[in-house]
Amino acid sequence: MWWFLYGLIMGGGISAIAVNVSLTWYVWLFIVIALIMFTLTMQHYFASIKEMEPMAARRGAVALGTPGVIFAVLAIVLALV
Amino acid sequence: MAVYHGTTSKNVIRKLLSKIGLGKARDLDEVAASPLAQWKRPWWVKTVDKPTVDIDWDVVERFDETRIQQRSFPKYVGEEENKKLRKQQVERTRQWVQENKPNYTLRDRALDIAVRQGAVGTSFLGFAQDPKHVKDGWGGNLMTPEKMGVPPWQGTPEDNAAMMRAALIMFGASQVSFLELDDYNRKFIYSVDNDGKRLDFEDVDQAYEEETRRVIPNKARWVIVFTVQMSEELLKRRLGRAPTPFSAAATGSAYARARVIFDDTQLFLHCLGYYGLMSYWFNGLGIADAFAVMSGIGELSRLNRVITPEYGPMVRIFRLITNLPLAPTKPISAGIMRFCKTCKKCATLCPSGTLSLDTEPSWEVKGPWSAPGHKTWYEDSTKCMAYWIKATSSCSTCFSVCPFSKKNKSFMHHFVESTISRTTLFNSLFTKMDGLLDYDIPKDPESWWYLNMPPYGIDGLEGTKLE
Repeated sequence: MWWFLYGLIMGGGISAIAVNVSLTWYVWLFIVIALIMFTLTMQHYFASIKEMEPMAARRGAVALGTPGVIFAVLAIVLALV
Repeated sequence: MAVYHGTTSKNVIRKLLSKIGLGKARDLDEVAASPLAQWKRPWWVKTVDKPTVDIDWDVVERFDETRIQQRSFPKYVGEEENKKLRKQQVERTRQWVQENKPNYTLRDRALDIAVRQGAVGTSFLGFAQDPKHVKDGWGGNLMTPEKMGVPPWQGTPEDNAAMMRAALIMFGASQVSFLELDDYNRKFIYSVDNDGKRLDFEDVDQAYEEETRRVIPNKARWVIVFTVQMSEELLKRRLGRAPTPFSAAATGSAYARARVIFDDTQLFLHCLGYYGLMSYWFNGLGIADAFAVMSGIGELSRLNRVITPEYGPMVRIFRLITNLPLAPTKPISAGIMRFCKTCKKCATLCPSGTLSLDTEPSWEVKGPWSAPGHKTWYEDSTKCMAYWIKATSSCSTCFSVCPFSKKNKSFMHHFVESTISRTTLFNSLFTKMDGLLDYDIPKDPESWWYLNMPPYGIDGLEGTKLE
């Protein structure tokens, strides 16, 4: 159910951006990459907690989430420029 | 095609089967032979004709099992040293319990002892062969086809394999595979069993046992190989690199469950009009890992044991021989043995220095305890056994630090395993990542008592319809 809600929020967010804002193709690419990295980060984090591997959850989240943050920031900066 | 088909109306069956996508099957017996009843492996696992381990069949001979450490350790280290180690083990165990030493306390020891209850030996013929000892659940006489006035169960080898897989999993097995004995892999049956009895093949109808030997009929040509999953949460409860009663209990629990599976399987076969032959001891009859490699359970590894794609090395492997025709399963290739060449984590962290640190496997055995004829990383297992005794608990540190010992919930494990199966390019990176993410760090043993674990401490749903 949580993944369903996550999908609704992400889908809704992307639709809102697409309707209201005009973006270049490379900004969209960065948004998609950032979204993929965030999704993988969330999956790995919560799955690792279920596996009872908290350190793997935290370090994995940093390793996967950092590129996602970078791409998200790039997308925002490029969109505003 | 099976002779005995269900008696439910054919139209009802056809409607039901078409609803679940099996419209072409005429009845439930044919469902058993359909692809849906086949063993579903992860997508990156390939079946192959030859196993990933090199075998020189000219060198392979039937092995005398009394040469293994559990039976011959005093011969390899000397009686004096053996007595000294055993005395030390008893004294240390007692002392640590009296000191209430964390992770070796009275209740920790009690867990290791209790979980092994039932692991008290198996039976060559199966107790079902002697009707005096076994009655069915209603206290009546044991059912056999003869008593029911029907011939023994008849099915195609594919039907039978699917049936046996379903039955053994119900009895408690995690994975089930099959092998047909030919002139080559018959060499994996021991020449001498664990208790010193010879294992002979003869052209007879029934197996039998005498004072000095066990006789296997030549027509008992099929081997059922099965695994019992070990609890990762127990296995990883070490003290640094040293084992504890918790990590030992992971092994003991698997052996105890295997005893039930053996009894149930031999009885099931008996009720169908066939037999299943085992040894009097769990590791008897034949080389379990060899059968597991040849029938596709997993690949041989630096541990000189099998690593499976589904559970890594966190399984115990068992086998029995039957005269029920079974469709064999082929060996697999999933990049596991290749990964072992560069990983070396088990050997690096082995507390006794038993495992080989050589990059390439070798044909040279380290001692008479190993069966020659395959290219692997042979170990000096005298060091391993000596360490078990000194540590007062059987060790499985190598199993617990293996990068394949994972619960497989995070996508990352599947990503790594599927990449390993295709290329060696990232193998070193994956080994380093395994360490960076602290997967090889031992877990606090005392915290085990407060986990909320499922029965036997294993995830029995993984890879099943209920997952």
